[in-house]
Amino acid sequence: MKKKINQPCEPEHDFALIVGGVDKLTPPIEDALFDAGCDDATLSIQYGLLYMEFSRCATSLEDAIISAINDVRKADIGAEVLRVDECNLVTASEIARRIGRSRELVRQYRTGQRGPGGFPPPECHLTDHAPLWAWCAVSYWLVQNDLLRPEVGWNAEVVEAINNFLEGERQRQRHPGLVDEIKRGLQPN
Amino acid sequence: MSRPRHPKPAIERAVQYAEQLGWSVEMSSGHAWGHVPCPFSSRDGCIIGVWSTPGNPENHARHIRKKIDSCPHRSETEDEQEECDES
Repeated sequence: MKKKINQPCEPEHDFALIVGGVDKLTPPIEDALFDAGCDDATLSIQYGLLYMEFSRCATSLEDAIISAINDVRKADIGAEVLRVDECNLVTASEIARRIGRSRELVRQYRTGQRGPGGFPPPECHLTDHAPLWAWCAVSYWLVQNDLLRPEVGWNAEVVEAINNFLEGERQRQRHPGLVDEIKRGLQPN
Repeated sequence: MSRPRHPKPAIERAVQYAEQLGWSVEMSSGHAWGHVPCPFSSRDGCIIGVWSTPGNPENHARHIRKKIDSCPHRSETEDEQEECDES
């Protein structure tokens, strides 16, 4: 998993964790996080939440994020990792920004004027002027059509899976029976 | 400069960058060398921690600069200032 700086560094992965339960930087909290292995994270407080910006050496982004979450849990400071700071729902402009291309090109992908067609439909806000797309679906389409590096698409899936898992954990804490209730109500897919 | 210099040059330069933009520096203890609080009035407790001996000083310095440049309160304050100027 994570390697120390004096050892050969595997690929370095940049990501940020948003952490609840800590709204101040104090020496005991900082020391606990540092000693738990978060010496590769820069801590800050924003909107009453702990924000941890990591540059972590690990074989994969998945390993880097999971080991970082485990380090925060190991610090035992009453903190709860809420999510990786990456949003799956994106505007068309954000899609353009993420792939480093123009908004016009993204519009052409959507309408089929450019590219192979079959661009994923938006996920929500369909009646607004600014619908939102699922970045995982868009990046999958881009990878399938050789318009994006496969690891970028895979990393989007990894981040979304981790965020869904973390959100699921929190939801089970808030409403333990809700997921089972929904499962019972839905017909098998 | 009345505060001690950070022993890692890259981090010292990042802290000086913060100071040039009006951020202050508060010394701390333990693994934290200090804290850099956001100077804007609506800051909601916004603050950046600076390690004494981070795993990688260059990365830490880069993170500090990034946080300063992306501080959400700077634009809020600028918006408020523009509203005041217009009225």
